[in-house]
Amino acid sequence: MKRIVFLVAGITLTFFLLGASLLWKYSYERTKLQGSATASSIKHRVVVLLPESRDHFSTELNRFLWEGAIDLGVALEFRPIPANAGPQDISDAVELATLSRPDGIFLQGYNQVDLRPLIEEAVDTGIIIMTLLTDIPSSKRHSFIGYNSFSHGREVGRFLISNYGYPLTVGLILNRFNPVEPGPMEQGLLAGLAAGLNLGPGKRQVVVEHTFSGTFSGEDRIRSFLQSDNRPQILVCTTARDTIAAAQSILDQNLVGTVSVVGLDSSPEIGDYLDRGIVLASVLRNPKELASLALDAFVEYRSTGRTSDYFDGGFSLWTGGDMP
Amino acid sequence: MKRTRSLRTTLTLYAVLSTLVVGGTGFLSQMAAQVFIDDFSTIMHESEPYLRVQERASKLMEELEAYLDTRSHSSLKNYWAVSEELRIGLEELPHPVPTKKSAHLKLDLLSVASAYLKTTEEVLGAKRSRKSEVLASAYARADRILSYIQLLTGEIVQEDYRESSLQRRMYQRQSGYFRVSAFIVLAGVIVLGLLTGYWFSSQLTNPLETMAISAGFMSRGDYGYAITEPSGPRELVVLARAFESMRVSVETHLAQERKQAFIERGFLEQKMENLRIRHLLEQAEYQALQAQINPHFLFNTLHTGIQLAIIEDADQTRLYIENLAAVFKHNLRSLEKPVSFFDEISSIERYIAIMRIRFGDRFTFRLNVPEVLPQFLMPAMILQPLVENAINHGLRDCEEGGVVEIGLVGNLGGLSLWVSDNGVGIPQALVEQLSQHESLGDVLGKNGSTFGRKSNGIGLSNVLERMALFFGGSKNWTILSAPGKGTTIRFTLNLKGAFDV
Repeated sequence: MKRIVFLVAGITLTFFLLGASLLWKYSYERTKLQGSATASSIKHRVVVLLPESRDHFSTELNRFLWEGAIDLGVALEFRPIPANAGPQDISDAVELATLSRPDGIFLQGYNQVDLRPLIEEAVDTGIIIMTLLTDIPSSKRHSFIGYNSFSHGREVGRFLISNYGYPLTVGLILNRFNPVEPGPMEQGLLAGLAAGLNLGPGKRQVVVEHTFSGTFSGEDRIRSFLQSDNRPQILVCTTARDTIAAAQSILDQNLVGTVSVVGLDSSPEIGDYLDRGIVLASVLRNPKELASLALDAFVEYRSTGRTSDYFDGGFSLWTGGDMP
Repeated sequence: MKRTRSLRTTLTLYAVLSTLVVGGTGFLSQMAAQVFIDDFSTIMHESEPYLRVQERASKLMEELEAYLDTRSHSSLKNYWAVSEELRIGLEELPHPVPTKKSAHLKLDLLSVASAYLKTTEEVLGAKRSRKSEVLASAYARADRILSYIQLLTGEIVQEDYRESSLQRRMYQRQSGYFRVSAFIVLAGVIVLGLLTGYWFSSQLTNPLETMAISAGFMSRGDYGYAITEPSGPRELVVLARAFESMRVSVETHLAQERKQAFIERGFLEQKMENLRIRHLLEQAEYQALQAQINPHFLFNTLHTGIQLAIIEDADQTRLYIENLAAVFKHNLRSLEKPVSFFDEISSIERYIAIMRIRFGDRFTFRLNVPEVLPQFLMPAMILQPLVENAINHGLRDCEEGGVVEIGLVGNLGGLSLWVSDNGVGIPQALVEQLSQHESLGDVLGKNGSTFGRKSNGIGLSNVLERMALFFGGSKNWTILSAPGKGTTIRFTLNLKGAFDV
């Protein structure tokens, strides 16, 4: 009898605890749904205005920003700018972010629109502006967190020379390239590539090509580039999307072994192309480091009123093996 | 020592446990219901105030445009009214903690709406100061900000809906699990309540039932139903112990009483037996005294006779008187003291000698005993009454050829002693009647009559009963007799304790 009573009591208690744990789980998930940070831990509010992208690097960058922000008591509001956003859309996004009166704005520079007045207005109202990946020079932004595009180009040039030697034809695919007024990143990349390839008359040729924004236009441009008379041996891509598009075009046009790619960032697709030898190497930026630097710089400025003008997140060259 | 709880503690414990379980279940259900209701209420009404902000912002723009178009007092008044309404509305709105996207959007809306109010006032100021460029710029900015407000409101509604959808899905999932869990808990609580109720009541009633059964046995005189110590409340344990102690005490007392009664009954039986023996001896002595004369006078007379016979050289007379004196001496001794078989035989021989002078050759006496007589004790005055009966009654009508025999066979483990005659015998009916009775009192009467005949000496019944009592207490004799074929009275002697001569 005693044993049966204890058995039933045990079962009841188990389900009682199960019910309580379900309720707790519900509350926990509800809290999680409302945001991980608790009210007391939030000290700053930052709007993140980065291009909308689903590539591996962007996803990781957002994730590390989110995780790092929780630790530092920063509430992040992601307001991604669509990939096909025009200059007005970008301006409106920055203006709206400014009107929202956050403590800070993380944004990326765009070649096609001058955001300097908006940044000036935001800074004047006390908002801390941090530019990520692409700088907006001559603006009132407080700090730039990115990587050195000159080093990027130079390392790629050296890698190509050490693997191919001379003569070598290199095609550079630039996103949103403005040949009239190249952006600082493009300028640095071109200069670095030239330095790495040790360009000289009659020896090497570097053809600069660019793609436009949009889902398919970049691939179209690359395909036509590969069919042109001055088809390069190497395509150097500056976005993950262009890297994949270039590798796919080479495969489609049966140019494997004839044309190779040096890409940017990592993704399962790029890893696959690396394994197949279509992509020779990929320049990897460190999203975790970049996120950490951006948040630290912001918090430092909020605390002390000053921070460094430039933070280098660094990069590495991925030539195969497991995806980092 | 086993620890027990008091009855009050047990009942209190049961009440507290039941209350806790039922209360806990109710509390859990209430909490869950409250959480879900609160969540649903929030989901349903969360976006409403922000939609009102958008409506008022749009209305404000309408009033502003109306004023810009008409510059009328009423439109300005309307503008200020809506503006105030919007301002108050914004002030009343909570500033959510930015832990989720919708909260960010709401904070954005609050800031943007405030900027909108400020911008519309700039428009108003520019209109009044007739600064057309500033007016155009401010108006365009106000218009953009209004579009931002609309954008944000849309996003808020969308995000609230998305979050509420997630929450609703989570609620549906969790509430399903919770419902099942609550049902099982409820069922468990019911079963548990029944079981614990039965358990606790058993703890209370089982010891009482056991005691009641034991009491039932005790009321029927059976004190052997022991009760085990219960494991229930302390009071019942104490009660059971006291009950058991009482039972054991009564049982022990009764056992002692029984033992005492048994011993006393033995004493009484022994006493009764002694009384019977004493009665028989007194009876024998009384009967013997009847036949006695003054012993001093008798013995003096007999010795005088002996001396006279010696003087007259009458040897036969001297022998006769000597035998008579010896028989009298033997018969006058106390009947309470046993005699040896040898003394009894010696006395009989002297008695036969006397009888032979009296009856001459009418009978023959045979002494069929071992050459060396066994040494054992027996009651006095046994053989003489039997021989006397045989001569006086058995051989009463016998003129010659009568035989009286005393026989003894066997060993020290058991002897067979008999006295027989070949006289008239005893009627068969009387023999059977004698043999079927342990006690001869009813058959032979208390006056010593033997076989319906009067005896001058000690009666046959006295002899037979004394022999039976002396040699073990049970009947140890048989009578074989038939009319005209004589009578044999045989004793089977158990010689235990009969050898201290």
